[in-house]
Amino acid sequence: MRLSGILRLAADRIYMNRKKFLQTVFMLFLSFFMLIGVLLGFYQYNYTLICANEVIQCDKNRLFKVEFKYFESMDESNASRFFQFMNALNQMAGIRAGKYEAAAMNYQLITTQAEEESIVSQLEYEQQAERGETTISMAEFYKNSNEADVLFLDDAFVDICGLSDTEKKRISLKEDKEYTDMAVGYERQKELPVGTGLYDMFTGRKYRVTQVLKKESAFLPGSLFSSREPKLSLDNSLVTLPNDRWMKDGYSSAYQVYQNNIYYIADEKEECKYLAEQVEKTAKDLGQWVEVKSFPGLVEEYRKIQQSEQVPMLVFGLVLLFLSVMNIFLSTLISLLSQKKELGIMLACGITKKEIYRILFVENLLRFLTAFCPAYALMCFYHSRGINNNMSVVIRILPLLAAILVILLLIAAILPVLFYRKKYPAAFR
Amino acid sequence: MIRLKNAGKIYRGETFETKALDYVNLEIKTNEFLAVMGSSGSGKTTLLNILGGMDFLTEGEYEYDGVKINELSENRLEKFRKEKVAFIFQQFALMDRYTVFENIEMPLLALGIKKKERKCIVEEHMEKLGIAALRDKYPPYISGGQQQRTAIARALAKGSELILADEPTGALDKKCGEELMELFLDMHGMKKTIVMVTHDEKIAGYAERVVRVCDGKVCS
Repeated sequence: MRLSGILRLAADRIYMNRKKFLQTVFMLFLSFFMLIGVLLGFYQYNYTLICANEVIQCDKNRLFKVEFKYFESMDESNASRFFQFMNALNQMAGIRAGKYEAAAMNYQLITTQAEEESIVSQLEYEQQAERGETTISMAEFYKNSNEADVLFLDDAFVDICGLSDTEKKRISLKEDKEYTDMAVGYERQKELPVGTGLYDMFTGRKYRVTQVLKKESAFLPGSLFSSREPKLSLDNSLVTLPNDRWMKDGYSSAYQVYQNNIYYIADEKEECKYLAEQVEKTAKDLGQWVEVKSFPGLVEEYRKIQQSEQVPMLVFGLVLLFLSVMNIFLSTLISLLSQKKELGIMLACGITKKEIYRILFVENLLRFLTAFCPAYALMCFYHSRGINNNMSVVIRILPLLAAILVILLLIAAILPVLFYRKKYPAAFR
Repeated sequence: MIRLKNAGKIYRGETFETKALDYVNLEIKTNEFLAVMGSSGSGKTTLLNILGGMDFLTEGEYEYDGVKINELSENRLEKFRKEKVAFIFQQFALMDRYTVFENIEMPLLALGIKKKERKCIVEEHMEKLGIAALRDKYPPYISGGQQQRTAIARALAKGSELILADEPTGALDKKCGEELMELFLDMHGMKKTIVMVTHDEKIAGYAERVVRVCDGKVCS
């Protein structure tokens, strides 16, 4: 029999038993949805741990570098707390608040026309702030100025944005020129069209947008290359405190923000312990909730939280999946038993048992795919809306899902085949 | 040439053992129209199933054109059934959820014939058997005679050499039964070997030769 014949007979069977088909598809859909969710959760967990390796570079007096892919997925309240915390650290480190706030907005989108003028007014304002002559906050100042729409970039943005090595090569930073060439994500080309000048008021480095990255890079996590609308308010913007020259001789400790809690993670270095103590003390004075933990301690705690959330879901998903498979298996078997006469006729017509099994296999394959595809698409959509929305994760779990799909398909479709294997056609009548 | 040599078939259950065929020796020539007669439970249908490769012998040999069918592997037996044999059953054995056209098309699908060709063959046989107008009707909504014609069209469309009919007139009235026999004679004219099981003497009279089966044995 040709494949078209098998497909047609499988389609006929599905149409004739459509109610049962839809019922099993629905059950499978729920199972797959939960299973994919759980798998994404586990992968996401790994991803988060990677994020937990992001470091704050600091010395005894100053916090000078924060790198975080993670921060862009914070919600507003987290971001707000983050800023308060940063501010507290900043104060502790003896950096003036105004300066810090400026640091928080350390890269400013400046149109080429207004560039010099703006820098001057900004510096003047900072000096005023230092002398205590200002009446409005820095944030307000920025909002009121023409350069209110601030995009936070730094010269390490390629790392922040998690670009692959290939994509990094696409970005050529030629620092010998007055303007450094830089690339922007496809989705940002409207806000940052080619030719736009950017000024880093801390390093004094100037950038010029010379390249728009290919469309796919819009899927990369990170602020600059994000496909999402940029968040431009002070409280939830991506912030980096660069820069390279501050990184020399720095000590490191890890910093992590999650689940509405703020952790300062001290490593074993004396300096970090000192800083951690200072952080705790300052935070306490400021009424902030800060807990100092070691990095392994945080990882362990995070693992427990993840497991406590995901294990019941995994168990439920697996139970539902098992029930779905049993449902398919039994419905296939019952349909074989109830259609004994029909199968006998098919055999009498010359359709072989192997072909009948193929028909059943195709039927089950369609059933699985009809359930799996929407479940996968829906979970991808859900994932893209959540925190840690790294879409590569959903692709990474595909082989595993495919393997599960094949195993389940074999269980559901082959058991009835084994059941009937030794029967002669006359037994079907 | 079909040859059964000491063919035996025993059905075994946990508590019973039934001898359906008991050392049957039978030869059927190519293009012969043979009627098999016998009372209920005499083993006629079992004989037909054995001839069609639908069941297996527990003893003896079954030879078809020199090939020992009882020694064939399952795959080759299925191939034999697919290519050489067509069945016509007493209760027509049509699939209720398929139209007349689709029922006739079924063995052609099994043979892997292309759609266009299938359509031509099916339409040709529907025309020949006077059921062209029933193309899109479902079996439960047509008469017994029309159903049996559909079953015959299905058997003929397959183009097999051997046609096995299990009481083809059993569910039909006398007039329909006679009409059906005319069709069988036509089929016989097409150089088909026909083995027909019946317990109606008159119907058996249409065959070239009549074989009687009693208690699993060929009596005459």
